[in-house]
Amino acid sequence: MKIQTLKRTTLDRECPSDLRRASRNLDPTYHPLQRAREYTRAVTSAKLERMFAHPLIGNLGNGHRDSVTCSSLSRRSLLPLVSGSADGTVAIWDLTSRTQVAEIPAHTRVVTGVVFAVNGETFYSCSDDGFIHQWTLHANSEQQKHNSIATWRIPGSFKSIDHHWMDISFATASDSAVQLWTPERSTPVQTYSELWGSDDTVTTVRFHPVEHHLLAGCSADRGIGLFDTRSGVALQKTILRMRSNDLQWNPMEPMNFVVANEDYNAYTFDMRKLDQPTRIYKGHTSAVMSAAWSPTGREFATGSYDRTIRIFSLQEGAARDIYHTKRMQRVMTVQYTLDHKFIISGSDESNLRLWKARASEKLGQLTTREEAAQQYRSSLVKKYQHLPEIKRIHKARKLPKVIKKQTAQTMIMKESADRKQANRVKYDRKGEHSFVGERKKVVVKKVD
Amino acid sequence: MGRKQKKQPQIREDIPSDEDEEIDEDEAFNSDDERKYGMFFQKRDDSDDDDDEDSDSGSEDGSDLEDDDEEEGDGGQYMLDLLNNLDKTDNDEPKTDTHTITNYIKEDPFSSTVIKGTKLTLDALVDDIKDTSEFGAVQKKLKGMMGKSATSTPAARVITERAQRRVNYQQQSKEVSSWIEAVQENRQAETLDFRPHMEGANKITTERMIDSFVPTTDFEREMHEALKAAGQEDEAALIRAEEQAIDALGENEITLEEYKQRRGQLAKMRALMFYEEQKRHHINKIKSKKYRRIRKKQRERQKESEMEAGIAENPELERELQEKEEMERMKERMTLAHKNTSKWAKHILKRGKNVDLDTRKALSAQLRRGDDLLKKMKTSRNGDDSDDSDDDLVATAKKVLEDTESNDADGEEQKGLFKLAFMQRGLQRERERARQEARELLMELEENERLEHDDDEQRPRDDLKPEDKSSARKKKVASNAEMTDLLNDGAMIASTLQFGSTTATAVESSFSVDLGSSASEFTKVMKPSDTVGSQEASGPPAKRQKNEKGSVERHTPSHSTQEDNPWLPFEKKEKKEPSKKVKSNNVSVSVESAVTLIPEVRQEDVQPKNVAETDINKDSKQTGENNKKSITMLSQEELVRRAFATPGDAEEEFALEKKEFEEREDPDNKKRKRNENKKELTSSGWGSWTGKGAPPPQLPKNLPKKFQPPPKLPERQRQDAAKPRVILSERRVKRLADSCMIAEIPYPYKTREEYERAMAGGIGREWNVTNSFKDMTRPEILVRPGQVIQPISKRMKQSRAPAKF
Repeated sequence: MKIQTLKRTTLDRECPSDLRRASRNLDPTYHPLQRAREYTRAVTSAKLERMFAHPLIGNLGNGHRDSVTCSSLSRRSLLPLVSGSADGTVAIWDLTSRTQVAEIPAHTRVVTGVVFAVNGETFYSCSDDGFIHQWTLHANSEQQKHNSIATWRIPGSFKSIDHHWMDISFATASDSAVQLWTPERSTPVQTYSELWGSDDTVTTVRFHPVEHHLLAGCSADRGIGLFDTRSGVALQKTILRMRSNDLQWNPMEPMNFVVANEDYNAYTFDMRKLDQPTRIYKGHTSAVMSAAWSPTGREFATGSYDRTIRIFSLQEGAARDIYHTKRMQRVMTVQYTLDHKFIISGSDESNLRLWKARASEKLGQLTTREEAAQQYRSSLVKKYQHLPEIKRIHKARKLPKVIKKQTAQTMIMKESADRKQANRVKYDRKGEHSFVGERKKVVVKKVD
Repeated sequence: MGRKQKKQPQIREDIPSDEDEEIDEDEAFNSDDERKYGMFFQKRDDSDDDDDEDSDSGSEDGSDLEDDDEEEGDGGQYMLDLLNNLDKTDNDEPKTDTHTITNYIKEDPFSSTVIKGTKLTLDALVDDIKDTSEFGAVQKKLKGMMGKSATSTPAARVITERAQRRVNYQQQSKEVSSWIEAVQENRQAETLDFRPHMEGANKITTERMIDSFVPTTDFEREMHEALKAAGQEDEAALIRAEEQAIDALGENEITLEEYKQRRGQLAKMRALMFYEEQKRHHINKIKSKKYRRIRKKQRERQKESEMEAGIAENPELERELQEKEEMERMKERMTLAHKNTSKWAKHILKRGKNVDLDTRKALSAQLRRGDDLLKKMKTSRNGDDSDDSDDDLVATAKKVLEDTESNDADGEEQKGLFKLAFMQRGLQRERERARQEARELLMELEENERLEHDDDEQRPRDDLKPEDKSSARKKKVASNAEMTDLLNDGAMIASTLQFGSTTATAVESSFSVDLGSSASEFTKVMKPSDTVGSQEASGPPAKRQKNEKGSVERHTPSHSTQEDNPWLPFEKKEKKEPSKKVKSNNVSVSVESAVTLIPEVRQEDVQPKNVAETDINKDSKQTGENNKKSITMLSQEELVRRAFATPGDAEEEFALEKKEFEEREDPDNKKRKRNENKKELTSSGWGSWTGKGAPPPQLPKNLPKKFQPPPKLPERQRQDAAKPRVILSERRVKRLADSCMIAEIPYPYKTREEYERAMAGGIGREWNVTNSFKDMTRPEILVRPGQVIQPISKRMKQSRAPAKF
């Protein structure tokens, strides 16, 4: 008896890994108009990209009742966000529904810092009133109320708080010292009070996400300092022209961090070479208040006093994109979600906003074809981005009049200063003047 | 320090080093604490008497060392050195003091010289207490002190802390530097893939889901309980239960006889199967074509006989079979399946030759069928097909007609029974009747034409009863077989009949029909009236165009069939229609032309006056047709040539145009013209005119430069130089140049070549295979939706695997 079995030959394509038969001739000689066609497509893609660019998703709930001062995202989950306000309240938000989960009257004065613990279950808030509170993310089941689990107090005010990336300790910056705490103890484990002979307040502390014992901070004396919690010593400090408002370590490049400066610029530094920044990120027309790295480490977002959010690519000095809305005031805090898709901003007018990190990206599940088409479009734009027309379309952003004017003004000022310097160098007989690199000007001195 | 070195020679001149040393020591002893003192002692032990210079140079060395260390930065050792050096520098300060003091002492003539020349030692110091009782203990202590090295002085806190910071910072920098490789790799990667790498373990499968299933809701729990109670909570339990049930039925318990019997049965079955298999295998192995042919025929015969038996048994079956066959045919025609235009066939064709054998066979079978059909059509057109198509019928009809005519001509030559008078009479009568019937039929057809109905075709064949002649007259449908019978038996006016769908006739009779002179009459009348029509009738009927009104004018001339039209796809319609009409086994015979002719005939009969008029009309019609004919007679080639004809001098015109264009576009043209003008600058003058027969005048060689004839500009080759039929504009299009060209090479590219290489070739699907398209359009970041991207991990820091070659 002959049994017929199901069979298939190796020649025809049955599973996706098989090679596909090309039903067209790929020889370039048969496609004389390939470039023209693709260029046209690229122009269309660039236009489409701008057409679909609607970055703002919406506000989070009804916001706070006062200016948002700080915010923090969980390091474990994408959902929760905690924000602190100038009226001393701390709010917990659910990002998927963009609603407020709870509002806690945590402090009596400005909340200066909030941070999630490593496990993502609890978070800390610190304030100008000199208190640190530890809270649970989920309300007490009986009372439906958030009670603080633990409280610490110092005579003075806290300026910043950050949590260790591995263990349970956390660091605070107060007007008197940088301190390292653990939840088990009522007193700090480590205290860095005399910092290079300067008693100026440290305003920001940030733990290193990879080299866990490293701690970086910005101080009111325009300095950026590094601390080693392992040996309990400070490492080095560099003093810039102006004060830095925020500092964030690059999660993918352990030696680099970005600094949001008062001089309208953001700087990236290599911690091994603190005498000059690795790159200057220009564009803001007012002080940069906050910075947040994309978890991919390839770009970061900055929020500024000029009421805009800018997204910088690590490799480029000018912003990739700029977000603004009519009602958004000075941006005090920005966060980049850990799936690198969204940006959260908290601003002076008490609202928190959710933005798309890539303005024209379509949210939700895409069909394979759609995804492929989108990828093709974006690669086309990327390929032809140097061509004038595409560049023009791709880079065009509609800006508020004020910012446009200020940008123009800044450029005029810069040109003028350059001209003046050029003249100085040109007509200088004694050789007192010379051209100085832009990056060289940033750091005033290095202290060790 | 420099100053100090300048002073030193002076000191040397005045005081021996020994003295200096002594004083030095003394001062040190007085001023510094014990540890320092001890250190001095140690120093003195280590080095010889020329300490001053040594210490100086030592400090210098130390500073050098410090510098070196700063650069190298080797952790703890460096720190120790640093601290040592700090000590030394501290020591230096008091030393300089002592120098000044010694200088002072030396210069003072009244200074005490008590200790001059002697060495101050500990022994000397304790000399005074030599005789005391505690001396032994003191001496012991001192001895111990002399042997030991002293601990160094702690430096100032600020300094030590700074040093510590430096060391720590360097250490940290070094640690962080170990990430460089991973960072570089990340930066250079075109795509960062953060998706979790799914391994087999992580995939969700049905088994896994079943394994991990835990009843949670009430319903699930209830179900689980119930299943458990029934002993069916999982597959193993189910199998067990089944086995138990079988056991309970006693199925598993068999006696020895039963077992043997079953075994025997099985063995027999197996043997039979094996034999069958062997046989089949053997048969399949036979390669002889002849054998295959025989087998095939055998099979067919068998099938046929079976079919016949079936038909004999059940007459309904035949009809069914025929219908089925017809349906298949229809389907084939409708779907054009045999032409490979079906979705399936297209799909197969798209997949190319890589389809498996069975599919290919099916496809080729279809093609073969299509070919067969085509062949059939062709042969039927030629009229030598034995099939029961209407073409064939017409042919038979013609033949029969001819026969009857010839019979008519030599009707007296009949033999045998037909010679008998009564038979002759009978025949005559029959003929009369047939003629009568034909007349009636034609009249009826005339009526039918007015009524215009064509639903007769659909009338079932069962209604038709050959016996009922009166009813048969009304019916316009005849069976194939009957028709052929009829045609074989008698003669008919087949020449005037056309087989069509609109009007149909059924003629059923078992008697021979002889139209005799009336038929010839018809043809006679017809011929002058419409030559084209007669031509048509003689031509293949399949080519005739259908015409409901039957107007002769609309008939297309038949000569068009002489030449194939390349613009039309392969004579579709005309061929299909005749075969379509053989839908059922009813034959529909159109009698259009006959119908149209009859009224004309009648008209002529009734109104002989109008003949001339109609003739004129006909003539004019004919001429018109002839014109048409002459136009369409042109071959396709000629038509094409006429349609796309160009005037004869077009090429010259084009060449002229091209030349003009070239001149217009030539950037050097202006210059050349200017130069030509320049030539004229040298006007005629001395030596320009020469006499008759003299050589032509030559331009003087030493003319000023501006009067020199212009240098010949190199001829630039145009792009279309070698293409006489093309004009390629070489003008720069500013708009395009501005939008599609860039002033400088953009950043990541360094050279023009590099940039152009990057831009060459497309990234779309049209120009790439799927995989490279995917590669080229891959996004920079790949991440699962809703996934948290964690910071770089230690794993990334590990060195990469060696490259494979």
